[in-house]
Amino acid sequence: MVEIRTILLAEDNPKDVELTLEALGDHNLANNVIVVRDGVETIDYLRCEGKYKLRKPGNPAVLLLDIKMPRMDGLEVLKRIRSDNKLKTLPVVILTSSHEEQDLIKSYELGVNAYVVKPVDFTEFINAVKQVGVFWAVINEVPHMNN
Amino acid sequence: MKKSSLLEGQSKAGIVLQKKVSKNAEQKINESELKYRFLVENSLIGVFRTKVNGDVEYVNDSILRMLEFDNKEELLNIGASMRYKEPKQREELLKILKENGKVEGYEANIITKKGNEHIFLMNIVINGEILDGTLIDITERKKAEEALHESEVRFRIAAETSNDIVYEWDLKEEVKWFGKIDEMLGYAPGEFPRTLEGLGASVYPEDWVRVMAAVQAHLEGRAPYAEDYRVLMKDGTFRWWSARGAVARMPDGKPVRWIGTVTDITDRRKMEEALHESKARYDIAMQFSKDGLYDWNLITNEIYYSPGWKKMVGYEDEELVNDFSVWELLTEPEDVKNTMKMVNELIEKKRDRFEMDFKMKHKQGHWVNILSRANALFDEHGKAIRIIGTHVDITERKQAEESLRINEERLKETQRIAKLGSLDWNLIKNDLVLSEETLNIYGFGKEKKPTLEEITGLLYPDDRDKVEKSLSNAAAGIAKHDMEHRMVRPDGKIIYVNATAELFRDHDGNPVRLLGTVLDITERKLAEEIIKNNEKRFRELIESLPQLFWTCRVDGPCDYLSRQWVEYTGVPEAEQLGYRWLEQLHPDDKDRTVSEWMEKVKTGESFDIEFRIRRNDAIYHWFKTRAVPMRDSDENIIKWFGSNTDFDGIKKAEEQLINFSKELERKVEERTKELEAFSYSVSHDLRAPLRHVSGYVELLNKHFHNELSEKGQHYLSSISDSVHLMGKLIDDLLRFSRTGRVEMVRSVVDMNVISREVKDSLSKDNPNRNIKWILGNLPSVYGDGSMLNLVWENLLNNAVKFTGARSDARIEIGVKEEKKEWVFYVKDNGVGFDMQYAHKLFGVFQRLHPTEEYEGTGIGLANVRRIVSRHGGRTWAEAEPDKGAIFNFSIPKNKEDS
Repeated sequence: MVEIRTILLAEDNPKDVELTLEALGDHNLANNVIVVRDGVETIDYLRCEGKYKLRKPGNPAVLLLDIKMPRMDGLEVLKRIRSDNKLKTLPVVILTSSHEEQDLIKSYELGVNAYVVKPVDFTEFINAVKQVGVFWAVINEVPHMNN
Repeated sequence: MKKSSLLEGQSKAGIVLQKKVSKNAEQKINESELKYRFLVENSLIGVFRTKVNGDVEYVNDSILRMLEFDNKEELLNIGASMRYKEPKQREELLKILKENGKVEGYEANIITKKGNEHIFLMNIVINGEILDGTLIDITERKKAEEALHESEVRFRIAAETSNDIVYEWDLKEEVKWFGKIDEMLGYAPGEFPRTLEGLGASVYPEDWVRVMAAVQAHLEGRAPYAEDYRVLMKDGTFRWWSARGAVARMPDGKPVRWIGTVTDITDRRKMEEALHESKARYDIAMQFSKDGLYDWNLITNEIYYSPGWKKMVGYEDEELVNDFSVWELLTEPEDVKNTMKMVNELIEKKRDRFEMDFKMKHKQGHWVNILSRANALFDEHGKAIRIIGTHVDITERKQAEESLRINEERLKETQRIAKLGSLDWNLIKNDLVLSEETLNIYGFGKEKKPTLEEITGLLYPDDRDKVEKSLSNAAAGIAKHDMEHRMVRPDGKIIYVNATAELFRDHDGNPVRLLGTVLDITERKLAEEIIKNNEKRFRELIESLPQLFWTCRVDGPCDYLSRQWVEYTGVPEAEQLGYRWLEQLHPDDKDRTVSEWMEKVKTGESFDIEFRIRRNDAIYHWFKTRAVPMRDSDENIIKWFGSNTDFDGIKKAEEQLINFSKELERKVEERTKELEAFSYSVSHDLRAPLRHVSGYVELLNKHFHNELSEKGQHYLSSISDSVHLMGKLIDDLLRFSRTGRVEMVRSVVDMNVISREVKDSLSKDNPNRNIKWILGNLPSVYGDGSMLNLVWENLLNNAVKFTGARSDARIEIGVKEEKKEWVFYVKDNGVGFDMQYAHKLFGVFQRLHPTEEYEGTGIGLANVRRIVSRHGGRTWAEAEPDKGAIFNFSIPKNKEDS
């Protein structure tokens, strides 16, 4: 049996959240999506800190990360993740509107696993998100973390 | 007084007369008286009879004659008539007469009536009262006797003073010697034998035998007597005598006496021997000398050539005869002629020496130069009897002479080329010799032999004193003369010369000659003048320019600073020479300047340095210094020249410019960053809402499709399209801005490759299209590969797009080679466009076709233009509506132009 694991979605824009969930919903992936609104929350969640102190431990299957977020942006989050022993194996997919070369380069330098540009066209958007979700959350294997 | 037989006779005659008278035979007297009277009257002897008192009784004519009376009447008293020269003679006479009763042979000096002095021989007899006397005039005889005596004395003196001895042999034993016989032979006076025997003992025995034989021969009348023999001196050495002699004979031929002379010929004999020896030596010399000797007997015309003479022309002694013709044959006719001419002159005493050089043919065929010298010998009549001469082989000498001549010529030439002349002043002979070039320099003709005055006369007036002083110092040996001065040539031209003179002495230190040189340095001097003038002008020029000028020595230190430098710095030049000029530099620039300066001085290249120099008001100004080495003809650096230009203003402006530039760049950077941020925003922030709109529209479509009317669906669809379009526009805008912003990454781009890739991609994207592709062979260009890719994408995309209506779409890709660029083209047979609107083609978002027919944002060609433009190329297109279009773009060939 294929276990559907958690997808952590870091996205500040509610509309984007809604649309993404819509996209993920097509494959029953939406139930396992945790949404955090900015970088700080992302870290808090991953570290089981702040308001996520009492969450069920364990890393999500994948972090869908937006770059432009208030307080702490995506690249900063990525940096922290990759420097944290417990988190550095976490697959991170940056999901962003920007296909600026610098962001691409920086992301990969920071060790992102995938970089996906949100297409404007919704159909395409759905496709992209779906594929990402299915792959990372269902197909991809990750090492089990000892808590 | 010698008795003469005449006298004897005369006395006898007187006595006879006297006896006759006293015997007193009158008769007989008459006869005999007559006879006697006749005798007496006509006798040459003067007879007289006088009384004792002197009264004349009888005188004969001779008496008259003798006493030079005219008649007997005058002669009355003999005493009175006979004037004695010396009165005492008369007294003496009378005394003798008184004592002896007669006078016999008394010589008396009488003065005749006419006053002439005569010498008479007187004989007088007293007979009672009568005096009978005779007078004989012996004046002549006396004179002769005296003369004889005189000459005898003279002879004796002569004999005694000469080396000749006169001898008289009485043909028996007695030998009388006249002359210094004793002295000659080392004897005491009178010691040498006066006898024949004694003489014989003093003569070399073998010689004496010969002498006696010769004497005998002469006495027998067979031969004249002339013999040389040796006589012993007292000390045992001998002398050679040459004796001559002759016998005096009686009328009957009987030899009476032998008189002769003897001459001491010892010296002559020695000479003869010496001569004999020298002749022997001469003969040897003749035989063995390498020089040729010849001996020409002009009388017999016999000529003798020594072996050396023959050897000189390559022949052995026996190979040539001793004949005049030999020389003639071996010598050139012209030389023979000239030589004989000179020989004749020698013979005729028109010349006293003979010297001639001519060529003679050697046995081996080459010519030998011979120097012939000869002397002529003359006999006592002055006739030439012999010519003796020498031949010397002067071939080498001739060659040496030729060499010398050539060398002299060369020297002359060299002097001429070098314009260097020489002088030789022989101080002893006061003879001044100038070389040809010297004469040339001074402006005299070749033949001129100028005097010292003439030369010093050429001295330039202002220089005269110093030159003459120096010359006299040189002549005195004080110092060498070496001076540059002017001279005025005879033709008026002024020249500069460098003259030297040095004194030379002989072994004893006496000044002998003054040797000197003259070098014409007029050209050099003129050149120097020009250079000096140029230097002056140059310096003036330098001093007039605002730049600072300086020169430095080859090794680095400064040796000249211009007036400007001194004025600018306010420090005297002397305090800045060497390396002290560095003190005027700004402290921060000093080290850098020094190290750069020293480095460049080593390498010898021109260079620029910039440094600050302190002005006289202590403000530092920036100067651009340029240093240039000056090289000589061998490319060696001899000096550094430099100038400093005050570019403080410029420097400051430069600095400002740099600052501005930096500022500008910073601003640009800022702007760019802003722009980038802007683009970023656009790309990010604009998109997001767009995405949302798109998303929600889709969701609407998805979830509420059925609740929407057709119109509603249509509205949704329109919204969707618009959103889609907007997205593309944004993307295009972004891309467009990027093409302008992004740095070009240049490399060699193979246009073939990228165009074909784009074509392939398009073909894949349009599988249903029937397109005929014609792909030309494209070159590589230098440019940004990804941008050029975009160009092809746009153009080929357009071509594909706008041939969409054609079933037989044809797209051609090609290139035209121009001189400096490649012109690429994409030709299609699509819908084309109206050329009227061609200028809008490449505008941003400009379209010439409606979107419904051909989609697109109109950004493609704008991109193409921008990219091609950034590559240094141009874009243009031609078309005709419905006839297709050609889109061209050029890319420069030279990578510097792209």
